[in-house]
Amino acid sequence: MYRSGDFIYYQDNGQKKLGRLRAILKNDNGHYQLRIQKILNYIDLPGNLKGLSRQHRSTTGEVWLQDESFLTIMTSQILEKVTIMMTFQHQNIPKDSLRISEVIYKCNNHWRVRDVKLSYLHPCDYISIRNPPSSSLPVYKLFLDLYYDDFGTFRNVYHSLGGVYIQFGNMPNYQRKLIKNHFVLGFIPFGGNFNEFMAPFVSEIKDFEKGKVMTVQGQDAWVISGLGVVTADLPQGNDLAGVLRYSSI
Amino acid sequence: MRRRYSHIKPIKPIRIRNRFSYSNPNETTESDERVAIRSPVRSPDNDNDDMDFRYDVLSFQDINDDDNAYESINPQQDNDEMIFSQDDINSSDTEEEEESDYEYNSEEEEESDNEYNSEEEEEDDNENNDKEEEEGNNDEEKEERNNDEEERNDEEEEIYQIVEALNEDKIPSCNGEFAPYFNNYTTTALFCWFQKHNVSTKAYEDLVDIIHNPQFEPTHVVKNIRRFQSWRKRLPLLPIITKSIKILPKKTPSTSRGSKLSYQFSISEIIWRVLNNPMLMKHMYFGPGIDSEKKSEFWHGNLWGESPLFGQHEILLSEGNEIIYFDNTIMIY
Repeated sequence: MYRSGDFIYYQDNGQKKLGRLRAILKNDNGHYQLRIQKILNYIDLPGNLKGLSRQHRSTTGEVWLQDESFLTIMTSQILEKVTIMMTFQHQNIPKDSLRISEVIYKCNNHWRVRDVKLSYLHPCDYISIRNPPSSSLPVYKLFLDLYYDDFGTFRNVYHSLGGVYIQFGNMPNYQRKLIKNHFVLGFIPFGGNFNEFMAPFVSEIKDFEKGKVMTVQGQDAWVISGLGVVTADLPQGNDLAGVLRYSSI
Repeated sequence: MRRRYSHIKPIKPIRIRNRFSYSNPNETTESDERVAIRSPVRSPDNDNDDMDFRYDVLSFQDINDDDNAYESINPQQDNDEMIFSQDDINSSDTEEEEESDYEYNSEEEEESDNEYNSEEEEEDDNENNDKEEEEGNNDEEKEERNNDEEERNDEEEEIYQIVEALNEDKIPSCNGEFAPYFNNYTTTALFCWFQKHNVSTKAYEDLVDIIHNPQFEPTHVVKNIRRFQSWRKRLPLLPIITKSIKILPKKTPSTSRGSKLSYQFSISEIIWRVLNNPMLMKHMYFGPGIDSEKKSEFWHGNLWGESPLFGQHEILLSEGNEIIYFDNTIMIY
């Protein structure tokens, strides 16, 4: 049993290597494949980062996470799970266990290093979902796309109304673009506070992220839905991000 | 000369009357002619009369029983007008004859007027101009006056062309209660309803579709419009949540309140309806992220693949052969 976010040993050109399982994917032919983030030992570090202190730390089990680019392997290449600890996530790390405290990345064709807590977190680091109450329940995961845009109610009225719409990312593009598949969430009066308006939506989505039993097509199902994308144009995007609008420089 | 001039004077309004208003009952009664109501739009004064005429002729109380302020909705209350308008209809044949008489007369008289005018002396012209309240000076000459006449004729012709009235000889010959204007009750009622309520073309086309449907039954038409509200409650509509939200005082009028009600749907209701709609479900994709060369969908992206909220985040492998558990295994760690 492997989960995305796990640290693993995998086989690459006959060598046993460390990596982190980032995603479980299927290719176009329907075969499973795994996206792996490389983890380097001291000997694999680029030359400009090698040094006495890192060499010394590597003897006590330190390895280095490498940012982009990711590797794609077949499921048959996976060997076994391994426990690696991120130093910022764990207080007490037992001696001689593998640990990561730095991430290396390439910037302007130079290898650089920084603290691992400044790297992008994998979603598994901050999302934990519950298992469905029964293993026989079908699982539906919904990808929500929130769209927010102002529109003028009449052509001669200045005050505009904010429309909030929902789309389902599970639909293919040709379905999603149909106007019947844009679901209205509600309308915000002119000058209305977006955060207050969204409060009921946010609390409902927080419940849905944990999972919920729903009746789907006559039988119970485990429904998980999360907000995947928020779409807005420039003025509304600035509002959502909490910065001033482009007109106020 | 005085007499001749005074002869011109009463003719002018008659000529105008011929051109403009078979519709102004006051003037027509002056001349003892029941020649009202030919061209409804020509003079703005007679709109009410026209409306009266229409509703009197139709007397359809079914359509008019809303709170409209027309006096003659109930013909019993306005017997006079009723009679008046029916007289109009009955006398429409004679009316046409009279009209034609008038036109002949007026044309002849106009010609003669012009002749007279052109033959008149300057003094007469001056007096004439004063009486017609034109801006002309006392020294105006004949030619200028003639120009004025022509201009006025032009103006009259322009006005005349803005609303084209049906020629008398083109009025269709049809018999019945609504002759000669309409063929039957349905056309008449729909025409007046259309005019009165300013029905949009689209709305009228939809109504026509409804009526032409073979399942349409006039007895099934709901008379009380409030009934529709109770019908609406039977439909599977989404419940609406209302919430009071703060309004930014910026850019809003100073009189507006600090908070307003906003309305929204519940996202769980939307999700439930989408999941239970087989038409939508057959298009929806629930599964692991797909590593595709050409990225066009959300499941081709990184977020779908990596986040446990969207993609598949667990896989059970035994000796290289995958046994797929789609998120619903319970593991004990």
